Amino acid sequence: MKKILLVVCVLATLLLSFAAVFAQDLYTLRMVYWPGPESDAMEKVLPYFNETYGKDLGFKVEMELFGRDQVFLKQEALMAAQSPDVDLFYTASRWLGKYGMFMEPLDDYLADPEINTFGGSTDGWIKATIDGMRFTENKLYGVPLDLSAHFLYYRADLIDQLLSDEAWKETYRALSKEHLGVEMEPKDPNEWTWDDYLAASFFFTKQYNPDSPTEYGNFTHGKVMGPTAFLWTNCYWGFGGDWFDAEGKVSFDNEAAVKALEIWKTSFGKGLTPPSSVTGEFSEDNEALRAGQVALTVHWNAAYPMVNGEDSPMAGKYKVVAPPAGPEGRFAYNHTLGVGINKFSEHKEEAARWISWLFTEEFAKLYAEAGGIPPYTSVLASMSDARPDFGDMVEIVEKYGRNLPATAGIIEDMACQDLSNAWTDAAPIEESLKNLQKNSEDELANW
Amino acid sequence: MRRTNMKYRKRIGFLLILPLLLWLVCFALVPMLYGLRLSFFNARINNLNDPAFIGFQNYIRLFQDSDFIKSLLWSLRFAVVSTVIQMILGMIIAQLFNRNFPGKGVALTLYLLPMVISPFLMGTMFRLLFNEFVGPLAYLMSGITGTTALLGMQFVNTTLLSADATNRTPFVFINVYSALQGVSQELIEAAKVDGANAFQRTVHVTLPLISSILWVTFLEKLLASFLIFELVFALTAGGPGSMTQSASIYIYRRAFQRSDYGMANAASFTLALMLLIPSFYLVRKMLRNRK
Repeated sequence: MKKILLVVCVLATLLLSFAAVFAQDLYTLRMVYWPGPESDAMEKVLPYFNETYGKDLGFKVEMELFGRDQVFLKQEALMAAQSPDVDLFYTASRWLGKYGMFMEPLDDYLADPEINTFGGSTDGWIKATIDGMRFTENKLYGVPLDLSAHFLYYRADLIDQLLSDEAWKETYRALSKEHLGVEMEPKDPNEWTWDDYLAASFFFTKQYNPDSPTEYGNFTHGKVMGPTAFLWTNCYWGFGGDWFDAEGKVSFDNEAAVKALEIWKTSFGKGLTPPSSVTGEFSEDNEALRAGQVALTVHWNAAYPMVNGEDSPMAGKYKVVAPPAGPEGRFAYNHTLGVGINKFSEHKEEAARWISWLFTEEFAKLYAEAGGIPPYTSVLASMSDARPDFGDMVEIVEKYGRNLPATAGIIEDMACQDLSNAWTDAAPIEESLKNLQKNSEDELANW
Repeated sequence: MRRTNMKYRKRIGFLLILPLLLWLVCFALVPMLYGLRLSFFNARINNLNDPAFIGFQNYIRLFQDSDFIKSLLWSLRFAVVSTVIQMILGMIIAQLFNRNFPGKGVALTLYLLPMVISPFLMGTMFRLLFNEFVGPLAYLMSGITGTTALLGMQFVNTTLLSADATNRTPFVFINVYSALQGVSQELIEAAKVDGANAFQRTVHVTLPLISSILWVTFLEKLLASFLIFELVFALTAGGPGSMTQSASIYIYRRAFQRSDYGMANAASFTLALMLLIPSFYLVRKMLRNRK
């Protein structure tokens, strides 16, 4: 009898403990995120959400940090396995064409007041970034969390001198006549065309102008990776080209691409950019700028605090404007990184509630203060005193911003390889573009 | 009684290797067969659960792809040059270490350090060390090369060979050094008595005695260099263009940048078949050495 009583007591205690644990235990929403400044910012925001809203909503959110280089490989494995192990995938506007089919459209969730209790909406966000997260049937597949855009960085002190010093102006005219065939006048970088960019690059390259205070005119990214091709795309758009034509067909084998490639090829071929920039990217460009060895670069906005911040030897010497204009206009590439709901998640509704909060100004403010770059116009503008690049970014993206379509991610690897072959002269421009055109068409036929 | 004992020992032996066997089947054989199957399908991330069977199309496309042929040739050239350099360096350093000198233990440990560093980490470190503007190695080397642009078109291949030599010569060294330790001093002394000089002793006594180890090391090194991935990927990602794209980088890009799993698997199996002959030879040689 005693034994039975003891067993009953133990069982009752166990049951009560389990009940207590489960009563307090919230479901954990698992969100794949990219380690780096983005996750550092999110790390600061998550405790606020979990503590303020978690209990009422019945769930909390956790980040799953896959390696920065490997995040998409690991996600691909989960997608291919149709795994519900994570509830939210990390994404970027240009990858939706590849991964959108594994994600859930958000429009219905946002329109449902039962789910969207925070009143999150696309209002207030930079339109181009919201449009970038649209995929099939113009539906929204992700919330844009971090904006990346391209700037033309230039050494303001040197350009000021170029615009005022007669001897420098004379050299500039002579160099532009000699190398570009036209006598050009120095201009404010905000009025530059790609020819002005080249002329200034010649002027600030010691090989052509021994009095140049910098060794090289510009830093042109050459590493074989998608982002390198995007930097070139600013120029391609300027000459009237685009990765896809109006009918959505891939479009590289054209005159605009030849002209844009010639600009890049001139930089590499004439030594206007450091020789090792053929394998260089973000960090190499930063080091060149911090060393004060280049005067100009078309580079990512994320570099701004690194090259112009207080701890940079060149602090405050760089200014930014939109990339130069071509005959068909001026464009600044941008894309956004964000998250969307896993189609195979077993907790889509909870994920949608979290997403709806991500669409609020409250989140955007907290995230920006934590170091993120949410493309929320008023939030970025309000922080422009502390981060002048935020103010520049709003202006540049709103005025000149342009995205690549969601399908660009499918062909970006072949694009950067063939473009790199062309600008390093490993293959003639025409041959590289023909290859790229054919390879891209063949690849897209499978999607 | 004896027979029963033998049977029992065999069973125990089988049970002991069973976990390894299961591990190999689950994590090597099954994925390999799955990969082989995929190589006959048009398999991408968007249709992986229902790929279309296309027979040998992936293999045909592979050999029509000039990019693949180029990457094979680059890998072959890199493997031969790097292996020859590292064999020579490894043998010379092993000879230098094959005597007693003060601080030998510390020198040995320091020299072997790069071998235990992951090639990807090594590549990332070298990327900084070879940086044109802030890289200390680039600065030091500029005395010889005349430029700090060691990752530019002119020096990129040489830089990769040097980085690989730093990373993997210790492997050659340790093999040769251990073989040298086993060479009988009596034979060397006898050759000395017969009037052989240092060069003759090395060529006619030492090298023949360690030749089998040298062969195995050479082949292992050749195969590893042919399949090089991490170091090159971290330093150049196969660029500029496809200038330093190894066969492994080609496969990686096919599989993980373009999500073309069918073609990537076809390339993997083609590479595996090509490396089968030297691999079999290597295994035979190793087994013969054990006997």
